[in-house]
Amino acid sequence: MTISIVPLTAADRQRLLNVDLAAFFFDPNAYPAEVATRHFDWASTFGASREGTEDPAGVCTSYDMAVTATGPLGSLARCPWQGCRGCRSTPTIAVAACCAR
Amino acid sequence: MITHHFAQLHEQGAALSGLHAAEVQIYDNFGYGIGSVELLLKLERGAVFNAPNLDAAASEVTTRLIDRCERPWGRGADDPLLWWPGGPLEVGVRSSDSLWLRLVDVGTALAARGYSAACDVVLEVADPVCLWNEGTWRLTVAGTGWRRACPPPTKRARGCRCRAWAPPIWGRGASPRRHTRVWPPS
Repeated sequence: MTISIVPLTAADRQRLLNVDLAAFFFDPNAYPAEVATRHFDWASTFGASREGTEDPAGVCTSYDMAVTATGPLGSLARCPWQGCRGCRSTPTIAVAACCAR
Repeated sequence: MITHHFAQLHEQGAALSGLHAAEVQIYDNFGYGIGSVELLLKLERGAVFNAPNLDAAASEVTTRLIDRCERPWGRGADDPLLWWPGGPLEVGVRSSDSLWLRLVDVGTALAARGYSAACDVVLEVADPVCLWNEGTWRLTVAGTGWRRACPPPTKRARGCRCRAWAPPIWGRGASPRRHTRVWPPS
């Protein structure tokens, strides 16, 4: 099975939430899709699709969370850091990912 | 997708990746380790707080909270709130993993943080997920605080092996599979 990873945009927010819903079974009507995804950094959001399909079977998004850490001699330093909001996948692609390791 | 995620971060210059793991079995396999532990405290109604040195500050408070149910969760293990009611024996404490960390770029991460003492060590990094980290790194920390992490030119690795790198270097080192050994460079 071939899997391709493609960037997702705001136009894909409902398809992204569909994958999230398949993984975590939350109330799909709790929040509108625009509200549930408004903090997403779309430049860091991707979907994985099986060959021949359009809907993502897995999604991953992250955001910039550079942190201030202790530096030399008691100073402070900024460190580039990315927070992963999480990877969601349908069971099928999760098995594929585990087998691929 | 995780390996794609790491590749993207590496291109962007990120040193670390962090997350709260929904399923811990997954992220341990990709090099994440527990960077911090959080506590959930159970305080009974009427619990008495003894907060030293806060009497003066409390005397200046002009409003009072009359009736409210508080669930103090997500507190760090060194949070003073744990001790104000009398310590762990006086409160119901439940701990869980909090932030998970993963070094995306060993060189950047090692050089970005501070160290408490000078050192000069060679680290051997085995990282089958982020291959750009693989190999040996020489970490030099001078007494002035100056530090540098770079691949040594020819040295054979003698130094350090660690499955989940970020916790011992950037967090509290709570990874159950941590395995670290360090030797000085030959």
